[in-house]
Amino acid sequence: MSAVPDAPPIEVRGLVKHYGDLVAVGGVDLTVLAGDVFGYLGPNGAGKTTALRMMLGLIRPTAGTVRLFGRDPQAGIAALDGVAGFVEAPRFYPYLTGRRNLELCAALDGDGAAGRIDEVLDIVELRDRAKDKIGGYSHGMRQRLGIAAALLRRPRLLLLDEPATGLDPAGMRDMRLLVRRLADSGMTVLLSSHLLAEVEELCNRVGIVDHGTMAYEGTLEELRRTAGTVYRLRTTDDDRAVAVCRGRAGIEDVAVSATAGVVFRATDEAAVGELSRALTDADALVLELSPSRATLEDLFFALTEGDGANGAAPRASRRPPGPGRGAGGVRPGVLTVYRWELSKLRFQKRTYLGLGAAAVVPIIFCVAVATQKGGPEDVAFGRYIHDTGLAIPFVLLLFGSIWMFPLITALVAGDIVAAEDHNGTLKTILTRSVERSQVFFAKALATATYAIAAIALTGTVAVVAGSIVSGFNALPTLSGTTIQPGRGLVLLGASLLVYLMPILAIAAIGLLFSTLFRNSAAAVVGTLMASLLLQLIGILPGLEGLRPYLLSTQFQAWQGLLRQPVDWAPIVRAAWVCALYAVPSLVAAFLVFLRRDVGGG
Amino acid sequence: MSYLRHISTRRLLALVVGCALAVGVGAAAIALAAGGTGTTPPPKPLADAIHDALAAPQPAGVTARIDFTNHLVDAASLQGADPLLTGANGRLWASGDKLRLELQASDTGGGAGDVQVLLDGDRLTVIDPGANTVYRVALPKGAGKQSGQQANEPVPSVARIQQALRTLAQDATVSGAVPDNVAGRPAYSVRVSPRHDGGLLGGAELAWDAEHGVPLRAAVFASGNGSPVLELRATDISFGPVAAGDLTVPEPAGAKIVDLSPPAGGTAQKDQQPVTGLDAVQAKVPFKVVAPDQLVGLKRQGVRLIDHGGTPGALVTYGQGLGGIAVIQTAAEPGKNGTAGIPGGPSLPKISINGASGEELDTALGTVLRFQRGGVDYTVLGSVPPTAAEAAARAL
Repeated sequence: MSAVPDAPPIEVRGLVKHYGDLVAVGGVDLTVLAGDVFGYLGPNGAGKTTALRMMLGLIRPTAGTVRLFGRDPQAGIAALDGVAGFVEAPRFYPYLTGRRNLELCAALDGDGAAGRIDEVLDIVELRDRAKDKIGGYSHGMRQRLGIAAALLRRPRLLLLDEPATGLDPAGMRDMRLLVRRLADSGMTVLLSSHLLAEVEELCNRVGIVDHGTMAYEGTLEELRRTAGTVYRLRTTDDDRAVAVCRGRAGIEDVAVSATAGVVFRATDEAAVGELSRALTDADALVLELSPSRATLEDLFFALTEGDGANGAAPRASRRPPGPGRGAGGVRPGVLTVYRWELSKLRFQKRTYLGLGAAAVVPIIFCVAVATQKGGPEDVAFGRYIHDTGLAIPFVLLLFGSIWMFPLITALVAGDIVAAEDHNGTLKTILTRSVERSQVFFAKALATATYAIAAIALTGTVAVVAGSIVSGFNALPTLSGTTIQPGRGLVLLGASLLVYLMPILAIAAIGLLFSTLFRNSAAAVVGTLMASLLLQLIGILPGLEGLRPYLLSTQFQAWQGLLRQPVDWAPIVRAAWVCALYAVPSLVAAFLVFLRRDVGGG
Repeated sequence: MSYLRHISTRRLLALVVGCALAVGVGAAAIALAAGGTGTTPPPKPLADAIHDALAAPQPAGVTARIDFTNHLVDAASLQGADPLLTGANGRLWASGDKLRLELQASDTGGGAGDVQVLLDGDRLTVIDPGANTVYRVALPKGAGKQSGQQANEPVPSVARIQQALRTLAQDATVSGAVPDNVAGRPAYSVRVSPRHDGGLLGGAELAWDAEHGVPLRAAVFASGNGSPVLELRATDISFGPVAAGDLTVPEPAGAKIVDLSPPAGGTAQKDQQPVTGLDAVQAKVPFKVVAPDQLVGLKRQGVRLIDHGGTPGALVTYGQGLGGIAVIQTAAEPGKNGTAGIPGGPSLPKISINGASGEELDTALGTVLRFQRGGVDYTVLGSVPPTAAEAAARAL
């Protein structure tokens, strides 16, 4: 999807967004021309942020079109080439440093963005704090970091949503200076704001949205001209003066004020001259006739409170400039996103909690084996835990299937999308240069990698600790034959791979819940409950026929490898039964992720 | 991807349902292709079907997945998860006069290991890792022969089979050869039900492969119950050579060995004249034989001397056919209370018979009850409910 020559940076037509019966955006038409610093004004709840989300492809419009340099942001991430910005407050990963967050953004941008990190840090004057975690940043610093993250993309169009909100006066001043500098460098800026002074100071064109629809779009000068000038009039006979004013061409909105006398609006200075003559003729001698130019605030309230200038928005006549900088160049692939997903996991406590449990449980079990004579003789290999350490990982696989591995898996699978929702960072990564599908696949791969790591860790620790406690000796199989330790290790590795199949199916369910619920706790608990529920169904009388097709049953498929000859049937069955759970879950999660509206967190 | 993001939810759901249906139909087609066509053989008289099965060339070997059902004993009264007692899935290999049956522990929700049932000629071995016990049984000579039998003995003619079926029909209802399909193989099945008093036994079914004559399903039913009490059925079977290693399993080191073979003298005794009648038997045993003329309304049928592990015992039978009750009386071994049960086997519910302690095995097909009194071990067994067996014991 390439940019359309001569297409304006933003062209919005008939944009509508409904949430059930609520109309958030009711038909916005908007054009931002190249070089504009466009003020997007509206009271709180007018639908500004919703419209911005649609412009960035974060949510799907109910109707209407958005074109950024002629490209549809709903059609793919290529529409955001040359476009950057943030909606509401910029969101970052609190457990990463400022620089690390920018590195992540740069990785998802590709096109050499990583080489511009120092430059953008200098621009926003955050280089000194780049090594600090975002969790310790002030609001203003986060806003500036949001600008820095946007600048990494070398944008031709910058969309900023209330960038000065929450800043102290000095921070607001700095932010305005920064936007001014960027605009002066030739960047097109759409500045959504409800700070009228900010817009008046920075913007050459404005769009005023009210109740989800555009009340005005055009230059400030034109708005003022259209709105006319307010005059204050004092005469020797104000009552007569009012009578003279009313009904004269070019004189509107005549009113009497106890403090200011007669007030009216005139769209034409000639009409004011004629009025002066008429007042003298009517013997209402003029004591004071002074113009008072309308501020943007006056105009804003006049438009949004149904008083004054109407919505006949004059269109800009300036010819849009040709395409500026090229598209985003080389886009990052799934592997790049995957590496960053792993990197994020590496910095999260829950990762260590899960992997820690995977490592500690075998150690505790081995300590118990070392200090007690008996063992779990009613489970497979339980009889041999004092004879060989090789038996211990197999016993742990049996015990772990009840809740340990489902919980360890759910910790990350249930969190990996929902946490982004909670932090609001999903919008951050989905407005870079990677498709939603890439983000989803990377998250699925990262979840699988974590699950593999957890299983491998348990197996390794159990073998090592078990061998210390019980020795590294031959292991009797379920069929009664004996296998040597070396072959036992190979079979353990293979068993862990087979065991991984139901684990991955649970991970897929967790990913689905994480995408659906948008709440980590609900997704983690939901995944665990689903796993336990399947186990409970397996013990219900009368449902024995279902047992082979339950996920919980597949946790024992690895035992087929420990029979003589190897029994492949349960392993093959586990493969397709697990696929029956995993594939629909993944497909559903993918479709939800692809189509969902991304909120603010 | 863009299409999936843009289409309406209704269209997307239609697309997903369509894809799911297509996958389902494809999977069903693959399953049908892999699992056989489900065809049944042409109908034929039972005698012909049996004759053809006996005359069919024996395959070099059989490998099968099997499903073993055991509802003989109420599962709630069992401790642990022994595949022999609870039923299990597993595998079977057979070649010549060797057979191996593997009942897998995992599918029963626990268990220390797979139960292995090994038949090697006349020797049956059951390895039960849950009890860490190996049971050995020496079968009567020739019981395990299959291929040897084929080689040496002619296949009975259809007329001879018909004659045998007519004889059987005097005591039992025998169905025809019902065309069937078991484990994806065309098969014939036959059901035999007791014609008169069959006690708790409702009937038995056997299905065999129409082409090879190999049994595919054997089931035993309790009276008034449509589901089998015991069933061993193949769910997937293939014919061809079987590796010798697949037919044997070493006995676990350190396991208890329990020999359940009949006493060695048993064969020699066959040649001797049986000792029958209350007085004759009483003269041969060192305890007083209790044999009332009637027991719980059943008339005494006979008294017979038996060899019980080298010591003489008395077998007293009451009633006709499978509905009857048998009472075995032997001298108690000093120091044993007679309620030890099967070594390594499950512990049985305890009962009291007129003040004497005993134990009882209540199954869907009958009851076995043991107690000791006055230096004599009494075993009451029959295809009767436990109340009838206990009443019989108390009447002794």
